[in-house]
Amino acid sequence: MKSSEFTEDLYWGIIDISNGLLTGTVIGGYYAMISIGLAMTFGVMRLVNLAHGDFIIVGAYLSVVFLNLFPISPFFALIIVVPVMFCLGYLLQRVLLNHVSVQAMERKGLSSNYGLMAPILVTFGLGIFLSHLLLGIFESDARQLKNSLAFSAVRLSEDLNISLLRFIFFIIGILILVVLHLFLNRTQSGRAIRAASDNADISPLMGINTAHVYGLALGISMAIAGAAGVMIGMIRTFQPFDGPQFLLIAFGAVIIGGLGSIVGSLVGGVLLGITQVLAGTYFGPSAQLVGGYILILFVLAFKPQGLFSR
Amino acid sequence: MMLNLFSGKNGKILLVILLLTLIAFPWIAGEGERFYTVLLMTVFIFATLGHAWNLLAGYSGLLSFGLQVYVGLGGFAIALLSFYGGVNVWLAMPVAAVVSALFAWLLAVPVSERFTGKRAAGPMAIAIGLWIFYEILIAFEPSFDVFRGHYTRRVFILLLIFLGALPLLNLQGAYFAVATWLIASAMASVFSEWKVVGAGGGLSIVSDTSITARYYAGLILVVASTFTVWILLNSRYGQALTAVRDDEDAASTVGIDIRRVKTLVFLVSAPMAGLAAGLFYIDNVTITPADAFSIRWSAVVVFVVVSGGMGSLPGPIIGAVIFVIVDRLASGYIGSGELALGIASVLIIILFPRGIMGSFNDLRARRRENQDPDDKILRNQTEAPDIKLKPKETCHECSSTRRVG
Repeated sequence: MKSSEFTEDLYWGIIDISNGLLTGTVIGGYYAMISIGLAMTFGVMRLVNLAHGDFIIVGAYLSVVFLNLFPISPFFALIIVVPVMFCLGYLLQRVLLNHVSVQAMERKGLSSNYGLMAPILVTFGLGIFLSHLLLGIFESDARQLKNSLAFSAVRLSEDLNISLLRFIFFIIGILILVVLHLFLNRTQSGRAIRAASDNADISPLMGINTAHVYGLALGISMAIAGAAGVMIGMIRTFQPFDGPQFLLIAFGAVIIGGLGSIVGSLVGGVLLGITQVLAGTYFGPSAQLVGGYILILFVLAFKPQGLFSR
Repeated sequence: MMLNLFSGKNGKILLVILLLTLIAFPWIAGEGERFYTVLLMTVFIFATLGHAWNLLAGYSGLLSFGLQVYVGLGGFAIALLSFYGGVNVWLAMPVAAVVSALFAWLLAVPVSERFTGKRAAGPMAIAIGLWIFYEILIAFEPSFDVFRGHYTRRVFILLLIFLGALPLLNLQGAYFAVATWLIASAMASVFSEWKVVGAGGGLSIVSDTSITARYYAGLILVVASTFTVWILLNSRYGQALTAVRDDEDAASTVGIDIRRVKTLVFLVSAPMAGLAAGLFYIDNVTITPADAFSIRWSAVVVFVVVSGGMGSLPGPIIGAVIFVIVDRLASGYIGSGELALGIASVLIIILFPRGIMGSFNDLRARRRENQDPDDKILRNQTEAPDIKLKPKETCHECSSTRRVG
């Protein structure tokens, strides 16, 4: 009798852990999507984009608008949201952020510390502006993108399953990362972006238009953020002021994985996801956030360059 | 260079007149006119918070997004004392400062030479030992548990031990910013589970203070904090501070102990923020974890300092005035103060990248430059350095010898 109880405990222990690992990994996929844009803008133009979380929420609300016009599956919203977000990002960088970037501030003769702060403060203001704009347009009610897959799950065994939606997003997330990797390595624009990221002073001499390249970088960053926003909208509810909480997750994944590496963002996201889910399983739902924060602070304390830095 | 407006003999008279006006203001305005008294008190609170942040970001390059952790701790220190202990709020104010300073000390301790690296293991072991002792004590006598809940107690103590071991001040730039933000968020999630502080619902601070008393408390706070920053800048740390901000590597090569300078600034700024927050919540009556540890505090303080002028002594005060004007006017006309705040902060960076005081200094420098071309070099410096750099002409010989050689 006693031994069967023990086996049962062991069984549930294993189920708990593997559930945590599975769910955490799948969540990590979309954490990676949230964070890759942030890592990219920092890597390319040293922009610490504090409005990144709000861009994600803007993406989610854009799909709300689209789905109100065309009541079809939210997956199709990606077709509209991604290009629109790309254009917004490109314009934002060319019209506003290029004038307050680290490089622009250095040109004006301000010290590099000021230079780093100026774009931080501008994006901070931009984030506040965006969230209040959304509040003004859409009110503060929590929204969700209706879809038929919300409650279906992939069954791996009797007690082990993962949400189908999250699994699909994990796959889409990885696909996007692969496409981004190919873009950065195989195309002319991608190479220009990497060149500008490696050396912002020399690349203009090689005929690279850095203003255009920075625009592309923020455009891509926002396009991915928009895609992540649509996915978040399908999984959970969102409100205009949810941006900062995603921003913190994105920073976390970037810090854990290290700046400037796509694989790093993925691993960082997965580690963060697993830690959160396991902390939530063993110490109660509120430990989920604290567990994640402690993991990030831990990496900051002992390996501030991240686990996968170049 | 400090207090550009108030330098010279006329300036001192102006400063005294301004102070006397502010002291006499409640009498001039009378009991009926509470609106402007409250507005001015808000200015004082945010100017003090601005000084705290300016000391970190403007003078020593520690870009912090975690000032709200002191806001929360200071506010809750007062709330707990007055709610459970019935302590007079004014007597509780110093406790708010002490709690904030202690927390800052906890964050800055690993940076002091004594506890770095392997030597940190000792204090860590002692802390963990004390914690285990406390847990055993509670197992025998549950009333010792001031946290009223196993989960909160364990997470809270673990978090504190971890924060004690974290070499926070070694982080730079954006990393420091994110770390401070994370610390504040972690504290927020612990506090919102903690039943003693109302578990998310918060507490109310009941006091019978009059608005005039709160006004004077604010005035004392802002004068004291301005004076503290002024003393710090005119001490031998003043030069070291700006040197560290402008170039850490260069500063350490000329023999500045960077850790010590940063620790000092970090410790001084915390109680300022705690006190200002305490006054804010005495006025506001209710305090909730979500509100007190909110990142919006950082947003507002960043706006205050940047619009006024980062790294300048009058900057935070001017910024606080701008903030209150923008906030009140906008919430009156547009209906949302923060929306206007967001737009205003973007505009200010574009139009006055160095804030109102910074642009003001630029103007003065340019005017002086027209009279005295040697002074040109001063334009690129902000505030503290009072050193006259040698005019270029004196170095004429060395450049010519180099040409010959």
